Amino acid sequence: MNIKNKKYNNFYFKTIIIFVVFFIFNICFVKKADAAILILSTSKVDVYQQEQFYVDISLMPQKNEDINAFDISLSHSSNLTFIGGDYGSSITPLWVEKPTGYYKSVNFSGIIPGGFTGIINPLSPDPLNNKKPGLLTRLIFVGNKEGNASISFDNQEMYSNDGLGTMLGSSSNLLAINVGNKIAPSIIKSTDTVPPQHFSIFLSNNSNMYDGKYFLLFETTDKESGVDHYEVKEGDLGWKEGASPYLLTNQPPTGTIYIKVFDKAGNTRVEKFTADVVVPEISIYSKLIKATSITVLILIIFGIVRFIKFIL
Amino acid sequence: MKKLFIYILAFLVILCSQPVYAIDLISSGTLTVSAVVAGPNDNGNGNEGGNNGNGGSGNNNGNTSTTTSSSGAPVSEYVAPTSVVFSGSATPFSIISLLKDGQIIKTLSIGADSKFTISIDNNLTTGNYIFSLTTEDSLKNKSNLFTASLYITSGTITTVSGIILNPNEVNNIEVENEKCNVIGDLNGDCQVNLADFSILKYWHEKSGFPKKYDLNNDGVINMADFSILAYHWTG
Repeated sequence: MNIKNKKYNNFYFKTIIIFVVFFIFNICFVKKADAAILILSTSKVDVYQQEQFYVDISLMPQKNEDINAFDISLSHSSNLTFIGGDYGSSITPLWVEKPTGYYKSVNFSGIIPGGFTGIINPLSPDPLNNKKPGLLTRLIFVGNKEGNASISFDNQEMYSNDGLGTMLGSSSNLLAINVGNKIAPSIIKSTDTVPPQHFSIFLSNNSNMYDGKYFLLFETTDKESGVDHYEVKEGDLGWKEGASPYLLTNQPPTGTIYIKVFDKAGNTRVEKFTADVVVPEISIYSKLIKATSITVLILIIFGIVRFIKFIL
Repeated sequence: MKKLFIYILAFLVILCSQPVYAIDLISSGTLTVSAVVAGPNDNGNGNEGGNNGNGGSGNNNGNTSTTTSSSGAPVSEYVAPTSVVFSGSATPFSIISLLKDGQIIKTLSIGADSKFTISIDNNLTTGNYIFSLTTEDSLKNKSNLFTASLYITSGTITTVSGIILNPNEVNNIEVENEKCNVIGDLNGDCQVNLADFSILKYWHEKSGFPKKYDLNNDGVINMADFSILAYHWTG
């Protein structure tokens, strides 16, 4: 009987071991769901020298993926020059770094509060099951020298909308461009005639920023050519270019402040804000106490110095 | 007995080796999205279900503008309204906020029947928009954001229905000594919004920052912290 029990125990033990090994193998080597896809596409594969063309970077999360932040770096060949970013159609409402050119690279990062799972076009059939990629940004380049060129990703950090800052994997493609020997300058022109979206202005101060001084918060989007820059006018002061958070010149701020936003086609919108910060007035009684304390302190110091001189 | 044991183990292995998907904290019920091209007889639907908060009535019958033809006679053109309408249910007597591209544009009080209809019906041009909804009940419990990335075509009425918003999810506020304890609330106003984003952006990749700004406690302010902020966004 003991031998029979031992045989059974042996069998169960071996079976468990085999399945555990199989399970670990499955976890480590079986292909998981595909990571988010970053898509590089271009308006032209063959360009002339000094002819502008654009490159779109789009994001397509995979099934059940939800992405709320990204940090991307592209590298490009030396015979291409980065002109600027056009993010009018971007799904990114808040930029940490707008597309910025460095030596043979372009960096940009931003967040999408609430996350992104794909663009829903309500006019398409079965829109919830036919989501489309969302444009992160459009980059304008120009060929500056004849030859083959390429654009590819150096760094592609995608973050999951899980509250933990989890980085997701992603796959991407490489773009090959041919710059021809003919010189034919051309500029991509915008047909945007619509001003940027309305926006609100908030006044704030924080002990950990700008030494506690007051600053303005504002942010808007332009759905056509994208926001180019902001200008701020405080009271009688002239217009000054700036960005949010904007440190105010007048401290504390009073009166009317105007903010003008420009899109890349030159359309503008102006919003205004009335600042009414009241600085608490120091009472005469407090001033008297302060003055008296300082006087007494001076007298004490004077007395101590005289006493030391007397001893010496 | 042996066979049964093997079958159970095989089932467990297959079950446990499936890819793990993100947990959807917002239940969508029978979520539907549709759009119609607005005609001359259509209203931009602004009649909010529930008590109006800051939304107002929002009626928009479309604008009529007048241009001049080549003969000099006035010609009326109908400019169709563009609107997006969200409807569903949430905790009775809570406040629902509608966000466009991360910023609150409208709030509404929900009645006893838990149903809501909230819309945006102006200032929309053709393009991609990130719309979000969140609620806050009388105990200051907030729901996570329900977010829909929509491509809006000018002159259409888009409807998103079947939304269910549940508070008491991850983003609960613990009220202690009248101070909030919301992850991502860097300025202590019980909200996670543009102000907190600006603070984090100010300290991005800098040293000497207050420790509480490092949301994942890894010693740096980087995109992981921004991601956590974006998750807890309230607008």
